[in-house]
Amino acid sequence: MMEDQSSLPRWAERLLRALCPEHLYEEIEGDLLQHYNRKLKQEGKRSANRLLFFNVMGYARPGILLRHTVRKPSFGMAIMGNYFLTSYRHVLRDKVNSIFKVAGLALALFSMMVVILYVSFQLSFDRYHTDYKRIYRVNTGRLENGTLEQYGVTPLAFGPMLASGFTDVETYTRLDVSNGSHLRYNDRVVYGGVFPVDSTWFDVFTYEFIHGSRRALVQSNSIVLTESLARKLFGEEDPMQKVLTINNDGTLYAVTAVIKDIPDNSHIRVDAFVPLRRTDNFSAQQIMSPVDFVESAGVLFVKLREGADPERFVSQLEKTLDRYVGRKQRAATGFGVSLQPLSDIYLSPPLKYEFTRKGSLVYVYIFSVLGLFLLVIACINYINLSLAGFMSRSREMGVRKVLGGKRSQMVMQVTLDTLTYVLIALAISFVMLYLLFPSIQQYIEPALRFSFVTSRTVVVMIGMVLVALTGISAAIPAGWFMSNSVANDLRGVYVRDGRLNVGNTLLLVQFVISITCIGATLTVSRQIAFIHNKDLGIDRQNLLVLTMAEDFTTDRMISLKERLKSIAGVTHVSNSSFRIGGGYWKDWYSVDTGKEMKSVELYEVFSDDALFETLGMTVLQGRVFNAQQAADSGAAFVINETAVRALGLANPVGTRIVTHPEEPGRWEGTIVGVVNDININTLHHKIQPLVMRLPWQNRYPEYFVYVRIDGHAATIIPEIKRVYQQLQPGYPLEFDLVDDFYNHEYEAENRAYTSLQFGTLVILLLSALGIFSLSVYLSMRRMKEFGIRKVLGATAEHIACRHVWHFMRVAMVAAGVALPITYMLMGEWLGAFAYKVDQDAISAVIVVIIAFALVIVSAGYAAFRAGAVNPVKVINTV
Amino acid sequence: MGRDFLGEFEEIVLTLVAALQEDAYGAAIAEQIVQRLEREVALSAVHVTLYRLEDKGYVTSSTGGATSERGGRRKRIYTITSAGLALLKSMKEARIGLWKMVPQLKTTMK
Repeated sequence: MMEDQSSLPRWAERLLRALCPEHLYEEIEGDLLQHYNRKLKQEGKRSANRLLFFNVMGYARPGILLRHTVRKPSFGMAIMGNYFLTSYRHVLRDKVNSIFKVAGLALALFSMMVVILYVSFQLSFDRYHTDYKRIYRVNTGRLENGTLEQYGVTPLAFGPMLASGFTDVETYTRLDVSNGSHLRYNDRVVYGGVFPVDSTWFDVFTYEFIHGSRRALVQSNSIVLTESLARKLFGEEDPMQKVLTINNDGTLYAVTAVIKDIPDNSHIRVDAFVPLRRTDNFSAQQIMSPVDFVESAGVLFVKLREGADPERFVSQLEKTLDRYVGRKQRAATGFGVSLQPLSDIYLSPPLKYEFTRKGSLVYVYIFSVLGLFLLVIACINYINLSLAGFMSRSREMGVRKVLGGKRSQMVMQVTLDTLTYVLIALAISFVMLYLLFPSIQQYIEPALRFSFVTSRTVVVMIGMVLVALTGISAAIPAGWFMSNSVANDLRGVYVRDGRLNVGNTLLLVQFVISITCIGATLTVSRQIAFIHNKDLGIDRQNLLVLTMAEDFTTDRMISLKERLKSIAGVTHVSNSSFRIGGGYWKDWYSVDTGKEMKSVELYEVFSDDALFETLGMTVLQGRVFNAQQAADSGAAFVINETAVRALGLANPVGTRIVTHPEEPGRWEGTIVGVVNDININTLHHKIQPLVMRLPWQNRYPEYFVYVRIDGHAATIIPEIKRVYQQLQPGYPLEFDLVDDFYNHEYEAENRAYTSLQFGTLVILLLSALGIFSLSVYLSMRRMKEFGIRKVLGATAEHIACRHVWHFMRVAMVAAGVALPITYMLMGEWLGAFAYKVDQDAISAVIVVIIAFALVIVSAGYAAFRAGAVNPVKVINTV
Repeated sequence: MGRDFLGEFEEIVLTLVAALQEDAYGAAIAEQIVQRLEREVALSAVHVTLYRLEDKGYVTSSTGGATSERGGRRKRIYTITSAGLALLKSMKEARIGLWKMVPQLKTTMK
């Protein structure tokens, strides 16, 4: 017979203790034991143990768990009340420390929230479409001049190919890229982006319909407007079935639907949709010829079926193409297709002919890093401040320990204290965010909305930041307090090996981040200044560019130029084929170098002879062409310096240039002059080799008119508008100030710069606060030492230097770590520019000087006080 | 509050407390349920029911003797209160009243 067990197995006992309230324990354990012993005898150990386990687990039920008495928590509540009381008294006693703490945290949280808002906005692009995960854009790749170029467009004929045989495709839709259009309703003309799309557009993408349905584009000559465009056209009238025209081309369109304005976080910016009428048949030429490819291409989106394999679809499409083109031919052109998920389009690197709005992943990274830096700095700063603050509370800590305060309670106290500060700071930062939101929109991202704060991603991210902030900021001080001995607590000293090392590590991290930020800001500001001041080769002040309507005729152009010149204040007028900031023709030009015919692709500018004076270019060699000389028409070429180098000419003037050798004599000409390099693109691009020539037979209407003015723009521009209206009634004049245009082009950089400046400022401020309080704390700890030093003959300067040196040492190590990091980070950013500043040693020196100045300023106060210490007062304290 | 009401399991446990008298403690009650009613029961269910009955005032408890089988742990002996007894009785009578409504012939007609 087996002996009765006198107690339950250990695991069961533990489990039961965890579940059962103390006052019920004995009875339950007894009953279980009795039951267990009987089962042991009847069924053996295994079975008894198993039964015991289920029996014990049975106590995990509300009827038992809720019988835990509430006496213990209520005691805890009292303690917690006491924690808050002592913290409150501490705040009253040391107001500066507390204000620093809250202000630092609030500033950091505010900046973090801005970062979170920005980043989550950038990441939210195109994710509002219901099936965005199944929607892809079909991109294409082609070999061009030996390099594989990626295009965001696809021959439009691909669309109908997908209609049959592609089992992975649920539906597809195409968009034909076109320029902006004028919509006319009665007398009202409104400019907007009108794009032809397939009627399946609304099956693929999700839009909110105010009037009409997703079938709105099925009927021909229908048009779907966005809400704001409809309001501009029709005011408060009902827009449905109203008839309007586009660009006066004679076709009438009836409004069949109105959608809500397309959300800001969409890469597709469109004001109106019309049915796509093109029925291109696919031919091999559309892949082979660069011109035909671009002419026949549009944007193609596919929506794949649930669970479809994108890879399979791509290979199927390529196989289908091989049937049309032939495998070898396709391989020769390097033509291939790829799928890009809809949600990736906005932030991925730009492709050729891509439609339409692009963000920049670099800025998302920059902002994320800035956010991370801010979090770390805020933590360190808080730890430094609370270390200094808790030092004056060490006696309180000691007494708590003597009276039996547990370690877990100490952690709880520090955590609660930290949490309270964090929550107060959070409230303040929310108020700041709300009040400053208009400025944030202006400087960072105009499309940000305050309502974004309550979106799930943002709430989750802010929550995570709060947890991280509280956790880190509470853990380190709590660790210090726990490990300090009671005797030291009561004496008010913290001595423990390694503690100061932790302090130095924090200081080091703080310095590294600060120096990195200073360095980054300096480089960015130098690059921004460089962009704004770099000589573009043209005089961009007081220069207007007018864009003509599509049906503007040559005769009208001639009379427009005449009339513009007669306006007081207009000094030069020129019409040209290129648009400032990009938009050239390109063609192959060949010269005879003696050995061979050298062919180079040049960017073409067709222009009248007033271009050079109007833009303010310098003629370096030869002459410019003259519209009065019949021989110059189409045959006199002016090239820029880059083109001279590209063609490899020693004496360019007088050299024959041949284009289109298949039509000999027709397109040839002579180089008559060389002008300086002009950069009519943004500085993200290199200067292109350029050939300037008169329009063919002088009769070609070029759409862009450059007007140089001398005088008050506000009075001259209305005059220009009036002249234009006389010639092209019903169309508003589209114009840009070239200077404004460039400033607009660099908006992303300018915004990033402003934000970086602000971020750096916050980081420096927080660092200064942290260093200040830490140095005060350290100087107080070493006061006695300073006193003794003074007695032994040290001077005040000596002591002050010694104190500052402690920080300087760390700052020097930090500079060594931070400068290479900054160099690498900034090299990455500068890589986006074709023309950029060098990262030189002088900048590095400036950064280090700023960092050292920061140390001296923030640690100097405590050092000065330490130097001025009266030995009598400090040495005899306990 | 309306009339007090006991669930089926509560009624069984309360009846057993009344029946076992001096020997009414958790393990014994559970054992009786297994033996007499031939149904599986977890000890925890019996305990929870006992505590609930005590909360409602139908039983009282006091600590009782320990045995070696229990490893020296004391028992908690439950005693039915007069309120418990009255409730048990009224429930029994109500049950019998309902039973009387069933036409007795039906069983014989089968």
